[in-house]
Amino acid sequence: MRYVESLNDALHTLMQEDETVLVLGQDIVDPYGGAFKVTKGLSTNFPGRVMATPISEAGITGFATGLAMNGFKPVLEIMFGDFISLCADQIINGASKYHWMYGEQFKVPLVIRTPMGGYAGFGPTHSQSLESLFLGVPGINIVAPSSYHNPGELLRAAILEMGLPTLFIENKVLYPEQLKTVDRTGRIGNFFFERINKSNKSCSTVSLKVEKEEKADITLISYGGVTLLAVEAALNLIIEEEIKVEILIPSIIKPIPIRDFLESVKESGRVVIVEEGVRTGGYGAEVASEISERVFDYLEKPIFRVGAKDFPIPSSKELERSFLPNQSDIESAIKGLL
Amino acid sequence: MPQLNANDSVATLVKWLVEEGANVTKGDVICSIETSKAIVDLESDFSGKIVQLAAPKEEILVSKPIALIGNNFEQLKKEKEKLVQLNHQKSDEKTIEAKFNATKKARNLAEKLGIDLSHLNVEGIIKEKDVLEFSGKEQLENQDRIEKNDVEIESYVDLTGGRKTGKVLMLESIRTIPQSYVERIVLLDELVKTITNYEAKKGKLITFLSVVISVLAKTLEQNKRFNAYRENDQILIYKNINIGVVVNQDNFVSIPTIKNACSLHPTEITEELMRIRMSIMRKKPILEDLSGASFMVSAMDHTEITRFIPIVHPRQAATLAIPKIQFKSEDREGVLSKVSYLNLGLSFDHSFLDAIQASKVLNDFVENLCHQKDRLDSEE
Amino acid sequence: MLKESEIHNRSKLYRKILLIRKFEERLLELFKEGVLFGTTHTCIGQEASAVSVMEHLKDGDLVVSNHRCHGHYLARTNDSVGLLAEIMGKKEGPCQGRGGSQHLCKNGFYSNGVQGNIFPVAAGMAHAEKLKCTGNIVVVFIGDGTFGEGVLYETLNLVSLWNVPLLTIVENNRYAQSTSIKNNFAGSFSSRISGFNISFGEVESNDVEELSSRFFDIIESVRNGARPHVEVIHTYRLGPHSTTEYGRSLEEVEGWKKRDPLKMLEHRLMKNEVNEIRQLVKNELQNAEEKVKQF
Repeated sequence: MRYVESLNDALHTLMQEDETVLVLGQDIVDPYGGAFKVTKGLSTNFPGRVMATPISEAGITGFATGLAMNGFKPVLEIMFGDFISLCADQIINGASKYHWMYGEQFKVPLVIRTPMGGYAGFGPTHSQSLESLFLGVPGINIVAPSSYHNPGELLRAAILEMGLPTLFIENKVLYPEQLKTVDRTGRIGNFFFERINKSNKSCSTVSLKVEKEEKADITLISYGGVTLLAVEAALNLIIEEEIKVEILIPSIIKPIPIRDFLESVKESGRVVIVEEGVRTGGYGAEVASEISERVFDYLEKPIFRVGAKDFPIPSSKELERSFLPNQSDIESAIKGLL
Repeated sequence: MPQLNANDSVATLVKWLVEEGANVTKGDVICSIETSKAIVDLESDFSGKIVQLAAPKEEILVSKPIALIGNNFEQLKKEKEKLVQLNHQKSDEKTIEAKFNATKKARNLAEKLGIDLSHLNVEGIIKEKDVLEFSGKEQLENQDRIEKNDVEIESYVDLTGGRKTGKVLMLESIRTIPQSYVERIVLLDELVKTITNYEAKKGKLITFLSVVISVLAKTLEQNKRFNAYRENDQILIYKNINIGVVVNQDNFVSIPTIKNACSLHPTEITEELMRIRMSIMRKKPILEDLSGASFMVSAMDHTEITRFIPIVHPRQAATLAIPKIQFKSEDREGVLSKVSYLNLGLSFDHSFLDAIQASKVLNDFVENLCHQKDRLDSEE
Repeated sequence: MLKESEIHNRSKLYRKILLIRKFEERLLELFKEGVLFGTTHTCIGQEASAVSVMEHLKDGDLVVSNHRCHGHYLARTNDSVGLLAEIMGKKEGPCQGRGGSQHLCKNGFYSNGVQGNIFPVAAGMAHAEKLKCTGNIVVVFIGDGTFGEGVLYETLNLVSLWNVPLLTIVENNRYAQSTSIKNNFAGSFSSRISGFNISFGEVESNDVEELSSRFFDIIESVRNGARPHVEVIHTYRLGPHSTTEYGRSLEEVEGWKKRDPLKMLEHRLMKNEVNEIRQLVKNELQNAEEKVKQF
């Protein structure tokens, strides 16, 4: 099953089961069914519960917040992750605060779904990964499924279980990808697959290891779309130089499931964090600080972060590939720790 | 195969809507393609006879050819043959690669040793050590192992388990505790006599080490600051006096610990130590016996080491060093006699304790040792 | 038109306005005394808009307000103890002391301190009531200054497009903090609102009885027609924006004091009634203050 199909399925099932689930966004009604087709079929099957909105990101985010505060579970689609900046005031000064600042009188089960990510040549304002800007906003969750997770299940958990406004970060490059399945030896491709649920029952961290029992040389933490590059890099390094990398792929970005990472970090003592967002002040910076506060004595070397360069993302294919993280950046970071 | 969607890198040929060799005109619908979003009918961009290159249900990469259209049917068929052969070659190579997915090092070694990788029965990626194992060799020739500083290493051992934890503890200690050391001589003849007599008299086993431990416990009662540790600007004094005994242990972390040592008689301490050692030898150690020490004694009295400076463990104040019992000649009232003694050492945390306090501990220890000896002598 | 039966209501309205007025005046005193922490925005002079609207709301209706929300809160919930507790940061306040003066929430009353930020939220809440077929409406209070915010226009568009049962009350007190509306506002309220095809009305009044009967009709129409309406009340703030007065001319302020909603009602009531109510309100507030001080 493809990533996009998993999401579409989950929405269909959820809307069937729960009348209070509503879907809002631009251009999401059939026959167009959304820019990336995640909502295709919903307006036909659930008339009246799928609302196509004008291009008013702030207005519709506030509107959806009001729905969430008054008995409904709205799932709002923001067409491109880059536009989340237009929703920012509503999220920061509104949705994220209503639960706590009003003394916890009610929950705000708002889910904002949006595709982040580049590598498709869409240019500076349609290719970003801005979710790490929201790490410092208290009162929200951020979930980002990779193709090693089940995006539909995670969306379901976000809508039904979290109770807090949740940014659900999808990825353009991942939409047509087949979801990974485990073979009978417990592997996906060349890696042993394991789920770690120490921090969060519904949002697991996936662990990929070349050897099941042996301890890894490097712990590589990566999430979302750029995970595919991370896996390629790890595979290349084992083939070329027998460097054993354990790849940890969290599905929840905020709060950070730090307990899921610690065992591997304690074993390897060397950590590289890969994100598609800008490296400065990003996810890697936060995770690196958390890790060093908790298990500093187990670290052999400083923690390295790989992320996008501090520039707008260019349109040209070659430039884009060098400004966004690429496989050789990841490999150099890993080798730099050995 | 056209790029119909920005994000698709492949598409699937659903079915051909014209026969092989049929005449097609530009604009005719020739096949159905499935993309990630929809099934689409594809029109021909050319006119001529068609030779199909893709099979129904086949997934083709975008921009790769799916059909040849031209006027010379025979020529087109030959082209198709060539393309098919090329594809087979490529896929063969891929299969070979895929079948025994092996690392570069593994391949190089296999080549050197003349081993056929397909003989290895390994699931997943074949590594060098798999090849080694297969070849029966234990160690590698050292040509291949040159360290970054160009010094040749013979072999290497990974720090694991207890040794690795030990490393962590010692590094933490050095990082957080500024250590200093004081020492004094303790005469032991009287004590040795007492112990021998006691064993003979009472028939109970009593070791030198257990007397040391019981005396140490009493000493710590009088010097509570040494049964403590510093955290930021506070000295935290432990409630109980639990003495850990570091005796030539292989495993750094499992240190036999005598809990509440001040409430125990040296014979009881002897028994405890024996019990714990037995449990370790029988490979059935009890966790409570091997942890929770508030103070360490490092015993090297069964070695040739006459003086050593032990390292204070994290979250402790000091460690007592018991080196080898030595002998010297002493002139006592004109008579040359042999006396036994040892250099009793105390490493301590100088961030909150000083040498004067540490020497008091040693002096109290010697005084208590005297009292203990007297008590043992006077027991019935 | 004012009916005879509503005359006895007059004293009730007077009491409500007086309660708000005295509460707000006391707050400013407490600030001067250094007892309160932070800042506050009193609605002295604007009480009539709050009281006249709340008169006609049902239990299930929701009220959404802004930084200047005390009058709306008291008129809706009559909870002076809770309000004072919340402003004083006590955990016995409705938001456990976390929200304070500008961020109140109790029994379907919500306020937020960022201009216009909560406006689309109010619209969403109103749409929810419509989907649930409850017949309830949402009333949201904004000011003239709010018309600078873009999200206001986004919301007006949505509200008209989807026929949301939202009653928007614009309290035009002619000043956004220290800036006169003349320097802030191009065009007119009516052209802006009717540009979105939304039913619009405006009135210049501080007369709570006049406003009350006007809003009776407006609220009916929003509820029954399940459609939005925007009503602008041209009024005036007699107190400062927050705790200090910024450069409005003394003449101007004095001029508006003649149209004080409180005085208007006092003229229409018997003197002994007025005194009685004054005493009741005084006691009520004193008790509230004592109670809260003991929390």
